[in-house]
Amino acid sequence: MSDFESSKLQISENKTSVLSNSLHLYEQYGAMAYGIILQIVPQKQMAQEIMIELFDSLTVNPCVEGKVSIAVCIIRKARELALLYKQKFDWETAHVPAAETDTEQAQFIFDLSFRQGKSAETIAEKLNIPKAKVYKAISQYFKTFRQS
Amino acid sequence: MKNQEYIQSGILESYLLGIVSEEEQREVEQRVLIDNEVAKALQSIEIDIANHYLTNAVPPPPNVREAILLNANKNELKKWQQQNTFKEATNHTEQLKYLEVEVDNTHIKVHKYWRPAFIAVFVLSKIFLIAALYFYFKSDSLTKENERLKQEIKLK
Repeated sequence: MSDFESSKLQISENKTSVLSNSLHLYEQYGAMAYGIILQIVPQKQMAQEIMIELFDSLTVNPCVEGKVSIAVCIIRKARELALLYKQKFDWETAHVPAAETDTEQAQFIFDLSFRQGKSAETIAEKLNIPKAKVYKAISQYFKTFRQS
Repeated sequence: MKNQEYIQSGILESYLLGIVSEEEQREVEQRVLIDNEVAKALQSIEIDIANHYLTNAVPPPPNVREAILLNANKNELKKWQQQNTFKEATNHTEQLKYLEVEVDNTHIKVHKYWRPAFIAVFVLSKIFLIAALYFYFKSDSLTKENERLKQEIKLK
């Protein structure tokens, strides 16, 4: 085995051993996950319970060896779990009002999709727009934030 | 769909957020494997999304960290207990593979059926001994009787 391969193997082993610890993941991404959960479930007590469940090693550890980066995996899992709790307790969160400008429309669609957990098909049907436009709006939402 | 159109369609952002259907998810994953340009775009969007949520992060209260630490410790303890139970079970099976041999022990263990067999052999041996003695004395007395009769015939 070449030096490069062995060092690469060592790095990946270190990454797994260090990051597999849920506490390390919490230190790095805890605040990010809590921010996402609070956007979906505004009740702090419940948001904290979701955080504990999320960072339970069995839920978060698969993120270390996933197809996407750890941050994105935690974003997905935090959203999934928060939406699950939201459905379970049938909470209503404040909707972003529908608007006319493209930016406001993108924000509205993003809210329906990411925070309210509506599928792209449902949003398209509700707003009477093609599904492709829903995806485009989500992309537009991030572009707006990048520019600001 | 051309690469640029595909990248700008918003499917990559939706894929990363876990909003797309399973079919679309597979499609993105296949396209990323085949197309380097799409893979690079996905990586760049991945960083953007992570940065977006990291800047909007809200620090959780300290009791959450303590609860996670407690959970992690519980999991570690469970793992340790499972490993130990496995080790004990392995040791036990390894012990069963070999016979215990004690060099200093002068006793041997035999099957319980040997007890009636031994008693039967003992009783039979006694019977044969008595029979042997009986026939010995009988033959002895008969020999003596025979001798006496021979002498009587001779005298006549």
